Amino acid sequence: MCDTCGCGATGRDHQHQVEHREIELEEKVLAKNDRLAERNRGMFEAMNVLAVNLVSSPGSGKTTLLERTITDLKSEMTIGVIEGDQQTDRDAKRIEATGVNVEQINTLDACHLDAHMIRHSLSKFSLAELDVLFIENVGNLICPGAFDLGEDFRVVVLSITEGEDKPLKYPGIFLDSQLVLLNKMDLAGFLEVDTDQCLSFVNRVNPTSQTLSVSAKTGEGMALWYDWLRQKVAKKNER
Amino acid sequence: MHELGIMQNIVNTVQNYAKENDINKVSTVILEIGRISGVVPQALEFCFDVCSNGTVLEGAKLEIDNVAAVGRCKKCNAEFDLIKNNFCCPTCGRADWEMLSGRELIIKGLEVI
Repeated sequence: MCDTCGCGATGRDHQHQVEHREIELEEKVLAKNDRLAERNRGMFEAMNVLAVNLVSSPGSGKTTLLERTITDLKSEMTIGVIEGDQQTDRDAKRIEATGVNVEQINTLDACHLDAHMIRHSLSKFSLAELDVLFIENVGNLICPGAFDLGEDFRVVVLSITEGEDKPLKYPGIFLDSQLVLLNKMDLAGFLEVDTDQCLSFVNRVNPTSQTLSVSAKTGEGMALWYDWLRQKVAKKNER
Repeated sequence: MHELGIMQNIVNTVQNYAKENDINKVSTVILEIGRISGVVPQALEFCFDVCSNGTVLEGAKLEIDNVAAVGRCKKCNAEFDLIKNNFCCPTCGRADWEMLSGRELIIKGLEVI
């Protein structure tokens, strides 16, 4: 009996009843996310909102950085925040205390925000009134790198307590970022970390990324980050 | 660990394709996964059985082509493995390159019955 189709024929050159076909698909696995991200991008474009996706490991100081940024800039620009965490609204409450609009997304089992979640969250904002929308992604240096949210800029917050070699160990997230904020510089004197080498590793992985050294706690270096934001907001409004 | 969601995406995409093209049984799914795609191939394999159960993919073989992260040096044009060389050109030592491959996350094709 033929092993392939189970028919009674013994020879090799008979027609099998079962026919295999090969099909080329070349379909991106995240095509659906990418399409939704494009829609979000179109919305930000139409409403002149600068969307900034903040990514980092857990505990790098993203929320502290946002609190200080909002406090210092809210008199000159209208800011909204989407907070992504697996659980709790602790970060949203901290941001709320600064007086701006904030929406918490709890991703539960998911380790990243995706374009679909952002789309739903956007309906809670009056986008026409916003200058900047910060999207604080789930603290994770791997997964958020694969998901385009439709943002204008991806900013990595890397704290010096994480060690200087993170860009080489987790290159994916740095590849698509336009700016890296090296945070917790106030601790530089207490740590054996080579911050210059850390910045050179960032540029090795992404030669076009800008880098700024800051301390969200003391305010050191934050003025340059604010200038970066002002410049991007102005450019967005020019269009 | 977003491989479960990624695999669910893959299964949904193939299922939709199968439905549109009157395919009743998929025997092989071929994926291309880049080394810097943020996805772990072994974890994808682990999720495949769970996600494909009860679909046209049930019992199918999962083939994963791992794609190296390759850059081309902008100075000397050498092509090199980015990860093995710590993102520096091994020929001239510069870290200024364009990425040729390594971020793929693609359903390359299917074998169907």
